[in-house]
Amino acid sequence: MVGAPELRQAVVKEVADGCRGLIIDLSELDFVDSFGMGAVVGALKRLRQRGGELALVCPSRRIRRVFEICDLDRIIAVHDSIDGAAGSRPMPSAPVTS
Amino acid sequence: MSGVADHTIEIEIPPRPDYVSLVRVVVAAAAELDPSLEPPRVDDLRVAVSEATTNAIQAHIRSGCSRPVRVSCQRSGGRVSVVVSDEGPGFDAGARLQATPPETPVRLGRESGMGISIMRALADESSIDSGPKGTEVHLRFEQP
Repeated sequence: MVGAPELRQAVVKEVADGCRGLIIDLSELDFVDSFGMGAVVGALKRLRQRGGELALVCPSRRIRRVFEICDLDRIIAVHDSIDGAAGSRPMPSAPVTS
Repeated sequence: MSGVADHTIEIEIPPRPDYVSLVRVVVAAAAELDPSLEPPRVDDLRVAVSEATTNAIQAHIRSGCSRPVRVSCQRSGGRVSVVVSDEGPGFDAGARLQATPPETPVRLGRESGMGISIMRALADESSIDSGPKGTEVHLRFEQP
C-alpha cells in the first residue's frame, strides 16, 4: 500500500516506460481523501494523453462511495476484482487538455 | 441521549500536511466514544474532517501563515460536531460549489478541488464561514 505521492511517482514511471493500460488495485486501501483522488485523476490524465486507459479495483463500498461523490466513477472504470478489471472494456474517454 | 457524558476536544496543529492524519485519529477516537455513532458514520467523519483540515492547512501554507490550525470536536446528545478553523485569506465557498462535469476535458486538468464536495456529501450538515481573516468549516454527524 502506498500514499498519493508514491502513486503519482509510480504512474509517471510506468507511463514513461511505455505502459498504456494500467490497473490500480485499491483492495487494501483503508482510507482515501481528495488528495488520493487527485493522484488517481492525475494517473488517468497521463494515460489518456498518450492514448492509454486506467481501471481501478475497489471492492470496498466505503472507498468507492468517495469516488462516486466526485463523479469519478463516470470517467474511470471501477471493478470489484483484478479479473473483472483485466477483462473489461475501457471507458469512453474525453480529449485531454494539459 | 447515549448515556455517555458529552465532551469537547480541542486541538491545535502546526500548518503542516503531516498533521492531518493525527487530526483524523483524534477526532475519530473521540467520535467512537459515542456508541450511537456506528462505524460507517465514523468513517464518513474521518474523511470529511480530513478534507476540512487539509484545506485549512493549505490556506495557511499559501498565505505564509505559521499560526496553528484549530480543530474542535464536540459530542453532544448523540451528535458529533466538528469545527475546523484557519486564519488564511478565505475563499468564495459558493464558487467552489460549481463543480466541473467529470466528462469535460478540463476536468482531468484538475487534480484537486474535490474536498468541499466530499465534505458536503458526507456530513449530515455542513457550513463554511469564510472571510479575509479566516475560514470556519462546521460539520455535524449523527446516526440516522
